[in-house]
Amino acid sequence: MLNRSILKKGLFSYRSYHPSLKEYVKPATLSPLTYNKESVQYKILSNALTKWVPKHGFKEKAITDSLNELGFSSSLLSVIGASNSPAIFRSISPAVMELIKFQLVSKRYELTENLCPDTTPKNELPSLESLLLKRLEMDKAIGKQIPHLFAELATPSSFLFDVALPELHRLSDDMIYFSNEKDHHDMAWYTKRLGVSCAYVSSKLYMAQDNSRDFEDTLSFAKDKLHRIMKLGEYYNNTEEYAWYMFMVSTNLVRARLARS
Amino acid sequence: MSSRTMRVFSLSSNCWNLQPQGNKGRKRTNKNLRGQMMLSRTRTVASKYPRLLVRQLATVKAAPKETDVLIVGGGPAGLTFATAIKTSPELSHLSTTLVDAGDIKNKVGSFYDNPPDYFTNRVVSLTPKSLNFLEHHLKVKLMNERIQPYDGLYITDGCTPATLDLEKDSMLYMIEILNIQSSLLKKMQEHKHGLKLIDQTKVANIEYTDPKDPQSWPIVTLDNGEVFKTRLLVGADGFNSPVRKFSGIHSRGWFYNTFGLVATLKLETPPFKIRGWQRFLPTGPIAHLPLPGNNATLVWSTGGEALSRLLMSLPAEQFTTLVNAAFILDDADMQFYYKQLSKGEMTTEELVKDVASRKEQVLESLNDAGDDMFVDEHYPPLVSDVVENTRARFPLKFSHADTYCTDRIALVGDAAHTTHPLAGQGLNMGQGDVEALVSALEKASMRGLDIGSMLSLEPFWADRYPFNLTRLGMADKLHKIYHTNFEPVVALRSLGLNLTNMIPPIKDRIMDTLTGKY
Repeated sequence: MLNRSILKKGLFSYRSYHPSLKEYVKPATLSPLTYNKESVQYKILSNALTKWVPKHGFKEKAITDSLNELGFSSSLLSVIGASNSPAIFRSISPAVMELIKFQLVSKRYELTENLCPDTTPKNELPSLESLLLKRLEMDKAIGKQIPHLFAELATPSSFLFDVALPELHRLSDDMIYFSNEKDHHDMAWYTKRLGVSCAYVSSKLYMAQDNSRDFEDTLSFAKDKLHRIMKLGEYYNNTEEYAWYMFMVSTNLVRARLARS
Repeated sequence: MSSRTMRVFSLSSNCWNLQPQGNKGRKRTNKNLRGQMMLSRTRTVASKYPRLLVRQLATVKAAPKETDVLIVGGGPAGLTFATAIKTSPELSHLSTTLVDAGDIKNKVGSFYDNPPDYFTNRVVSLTPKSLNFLEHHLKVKLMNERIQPYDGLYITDGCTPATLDLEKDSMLYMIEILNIQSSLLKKMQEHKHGLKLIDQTKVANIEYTDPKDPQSWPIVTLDNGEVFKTRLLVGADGFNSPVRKFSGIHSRGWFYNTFGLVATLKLETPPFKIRGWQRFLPTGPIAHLPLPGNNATLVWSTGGEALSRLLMSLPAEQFTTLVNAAFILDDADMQFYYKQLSKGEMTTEELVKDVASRKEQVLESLNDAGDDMFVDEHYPPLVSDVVENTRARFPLKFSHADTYCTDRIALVGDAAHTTHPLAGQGLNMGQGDVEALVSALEKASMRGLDIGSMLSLEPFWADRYPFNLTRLGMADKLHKIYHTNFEPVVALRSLGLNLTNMIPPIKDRIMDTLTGKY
């Protein structure tokens, strides 16, 4: 009896060797932001992004207008930018940097909000293409501001390497992880993400100059671009498979010849 | 659990109870005590049933029947191999067992005496070499009235007018697989001695007598309870070969993402020229091959799964219209029809009318070019109907095993290699394997070798591997070259095809390759 109860206890309280999501506390902030959805910063910045950025662009004015609207003092501007160190060789305020960072991070989280690849079967997850298009569509409202946004993101500075690029790759990582796309555990992991990043950036560049109604051209461009990159990956895989086959076959052929003696 | 260990086990538990329980017992260590408890528990379980029953149950599994050769798979390769062993003077003394999952004895066997009035859909082209092996070496009497020799192949490119016209009397023979199988079965009936055919039975398990010694005889358990211990295990069990899996031989290859669709066709009139017609469409080659009378068979590889599903589901009239169109019209036209038909936006009348007008255009443009040709010379005879329930599809793949033999195991046919049907080599390669394996075994037998040893089997692999490798590579490369409509490749392949058509020595070489001379 004693043995049995120990056995039972042991069975139900086992800890798996591999990490399980259940064993971790959910992060309190929307990493890499230092605050969460309930915070004041979030309210101010999301209000600025939806209401004032389409009007003023990514400028301090958008944030101050949002502060005024929500009844905060405009001196909070320096608090909002507190987590960024001031830029040395360029004229961008830390608060605007925070606004740009906020728009990248919050939209990335929004994209995959209701998806859970751990519990949903693979074939019920959205396709990579649909996620990419959804992300592009999120930026329709700030379509006019994209050239300026791009200029700020792409200017060589610590901001580019600390925020813009990592955020881009995190986005493509999320798009692959939360879609029904096959994930890899070798070099293909990197190449695939790099490919998706390229497709996203080039579609975004296209979007910056797109004058078509509702950005239709951008969406079809993105589809085509992604398709081509995937095709390229397919070519690469086929070539690799074929090269490996040829190598094995050649050794077998030599073995067969030697067996004739 | 094998019977021997079982018996030893029950004996030892008996012995245990006979041991005197005395002072000795108290001195036992804990470990021994636990051992005693376990043993006495099993003893009580065993004593619930009469010992006789236990022993009988054990002996049912006990003696595996011994056989010299056990063949898994009753396809053309397996049956040919069984027949070849029994008709060979050096090997006919070997007791042979053939196991197959299908209904070989009744369904395949009855085909010889009561063939159906239509042609079945699994038809292959047999090379003169394979035919010679079957008819003259094995003395098998094939059903000749159901074989169609044909005098050439007319190969065209789906993207350009390039053609290759191979002509030779009785170059290849179209034959139903059931014809080969049932004729072999008939032949096997003459050699019943030492030959056992077990059908409708699957292999449940394979293991070596001594798991540590791969040279020990394999023990094969069937799902009807029979157990065989065999000197040589031959896997003729197709692409998903259980024997290959057991042997640990690795097979390399890939799926083509293409389905092969077969069907038996009825022609409007018996053909003017009896030859095979093949057109390389970007979706895959379509081949129209003659059968006796106004019959023909179709092998259509359809790129992707959706197209083959569509073609399977179409009504007969739409299907035959498409088959006729595929040999004449452009890929763009065909793609349009596929699209409209899959959406259900085209009726049969519309399709027939549209195809007819398009065909007219193509043929007129040829006439305008001053090419006073006969339509019959360049296009296959028109198809009027497709025999009911003969449309079937199967995925096409490419695979090649690293080696065809290991200790006590040999692989032949599709178990060792699978290929695209575009060159019609699959079955012929299997026949070649059988021929080589039999001659290797004959040699081994004459030298007094163990037929299951590597020493006997390796010459077979060494002989066949290079040959099969080039054949597989040829079909694979042809598939890759023709599976695209990328302009430079199309231009190059058309140039190649036209040049080949103009240079007779190369043409002869190709003909010899296809007909199995090399």
